[in-house]
Amino acid sequence: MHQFIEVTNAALPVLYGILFAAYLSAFLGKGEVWVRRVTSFLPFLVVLHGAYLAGRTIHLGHIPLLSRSEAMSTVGFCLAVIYLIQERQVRVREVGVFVLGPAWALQLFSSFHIQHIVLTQDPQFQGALFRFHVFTSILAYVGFAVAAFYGVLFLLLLREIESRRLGFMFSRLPALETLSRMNYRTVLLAFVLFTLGVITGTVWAIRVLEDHSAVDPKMIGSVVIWLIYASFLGLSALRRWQGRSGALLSLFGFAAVLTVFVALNFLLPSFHDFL
Amino acid sequence: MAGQNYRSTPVDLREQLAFDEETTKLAISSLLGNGEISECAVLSTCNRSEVYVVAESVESGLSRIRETYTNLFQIPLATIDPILYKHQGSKAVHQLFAVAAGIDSMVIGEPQILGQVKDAFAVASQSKATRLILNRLFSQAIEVGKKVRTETSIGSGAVSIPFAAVEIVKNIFDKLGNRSALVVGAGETGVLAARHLKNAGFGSIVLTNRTFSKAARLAEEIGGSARRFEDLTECLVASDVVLCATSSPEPILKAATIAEVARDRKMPFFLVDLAVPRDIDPAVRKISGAILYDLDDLKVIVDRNQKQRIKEAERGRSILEEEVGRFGRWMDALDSTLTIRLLRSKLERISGAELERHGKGLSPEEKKHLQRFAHGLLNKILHTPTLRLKSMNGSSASSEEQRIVKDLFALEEEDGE
Repeated sequence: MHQFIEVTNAALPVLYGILFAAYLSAFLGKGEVWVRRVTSFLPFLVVLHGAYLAGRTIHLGHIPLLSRSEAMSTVGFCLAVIYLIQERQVRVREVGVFVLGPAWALQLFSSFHIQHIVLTQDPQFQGALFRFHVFTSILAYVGFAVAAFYGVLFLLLLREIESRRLGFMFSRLPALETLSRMNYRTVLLAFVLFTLGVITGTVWAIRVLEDHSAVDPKMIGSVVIWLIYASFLGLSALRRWQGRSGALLSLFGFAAVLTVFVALNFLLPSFHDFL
Repeated sequence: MAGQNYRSTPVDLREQLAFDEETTKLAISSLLGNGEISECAVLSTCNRSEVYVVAESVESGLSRIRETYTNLFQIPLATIDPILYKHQGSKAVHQLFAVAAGIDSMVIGEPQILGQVKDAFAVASQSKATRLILNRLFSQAIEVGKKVRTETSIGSGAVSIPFAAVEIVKNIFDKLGNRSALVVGAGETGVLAARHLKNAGFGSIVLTNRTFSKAARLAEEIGGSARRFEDLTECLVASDVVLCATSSPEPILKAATIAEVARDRKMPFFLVDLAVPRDIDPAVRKISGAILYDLDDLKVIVDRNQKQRIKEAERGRSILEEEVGRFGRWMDALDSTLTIRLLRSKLERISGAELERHGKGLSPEEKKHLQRFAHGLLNKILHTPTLRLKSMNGSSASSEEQRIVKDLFALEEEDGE
């Protein structure tokens, strides 16, 4: 297992690099045949990365989030997963470079700095339920970030078309309608994952924590985020708030995520401090 | 090769010099008629007609092409000759490659020309008018056409007003099959726009016009539906894209109407005003959810795309140069192969004659022995010149070496005999 972890750790940045080059070519509209061939390997890369993280968890006995390098690899994996699901749905490769680029950078940093050693972890932060809560939550936050990014791309392209200065974005990005659909579907996926994360987190907290009356600022923040995205999806369904409004809402939602999980982290004490 | 195109010939004369399938076949049989031309092909589009031949000499080839033009179209030589451009050797190769790549087209990078080159080759092939050289030339021209389009952006960016509008539409909506376009006005511009929208793949095209019968006629022609002008607002509500091209002196679409119609849409309401004076109130630009492009906006896009294509054509030209060089090297190799074959055949003939002269009175075994000796000697003699001629393929000295060999052994005369 140790050997598998070491080999995969070295191989992942190389494989992400190759995929990044292929997606960059897709964005620039070049080399159709080899791009199609190389990008078709993304599911295999995601499976390999998942096996690497699972292998670490089993071999070292802790979730791959305890060191900065581990967290980077996990976030990179989540980016690839979210992107892969969206690509399967919409069949658009032009924007892959923007998601897999950061995934590659994260994995590259991680592979160079990571140590394959056992790190001590509070026993209460173990178990399948806790791991599921953490993993779905991270996937959800990454999903919100990716959705917000699609929203930015939508607004940039819309701005080019509205201002009649058709340039780089116009010739490279997919249609506004496609970007809007990608934005909406990614929010929907992230919202489902986030809901699962909140539910499993709550169940875990009730089981493990002794003081059930404790009010955690991040839990409150999570509820606020949940309400924002629930409104987003509700408005999208009821009032056709997609397109520009959808893009702006997903940006607003992600700003709320950042506020809750960056600002609160520094300002208020929380039992989420282990993250 | 010789031909005429939009640069050399006014349109009225160009129309008369266009080859259809029947005249193409007549031209081919006329060109091949007296044996001076061994291969030929005719390329004819609305902007050019060009005849490519493999002839014994440049003079005889050109003379047969001139004759074909004058006889086939009944136009005097004095009219034809000044408008025909004539190229030979690598310049002729360059011309066909430039045509196939869309570099020589009136609209640079237009896609139809490559198909027309393929058609010309197919007709010539079916008429058994192409052999080794034109088969290779046309196959490579088709390859070059694809290569230039793949490796440069010569064909990207709309270069006509309706195409520019369609290009923007495609950057707003991803599937046009379930989208509806409204064309207001059934004049010449309206007809053209409606056709472009239909070709772009719109699921539904609705036409409206002050004279309903005109809209109905056009709708039937393009496979859309016609609505009365009084239903304009209703039509706007059901449309994703609106294209106006009427001759109304005043705007027919007011900002207030558009503001109402554009509200609560998922995607922007896209409006194109192709009319002068304008059909759509310019204040529509300020409405959130509506995007308005007028003729001037589209003209700016078209001009910029045209400039971009001219730039890309320059990149395409460097690909052409390489490919012309490649074809030239292939021709050199072909020439040296022919020279070697002629030389061997001449020496074999001499050897055969000598064997016959000296073989009388010899036993069959002695004759065989003598034949083996002659064959071995011939191979030994030819070995070095063969290697040398082959090794010089593609070099500037190659044709000179071949000329010397042909002169020394009088190979052309032998070939002629």
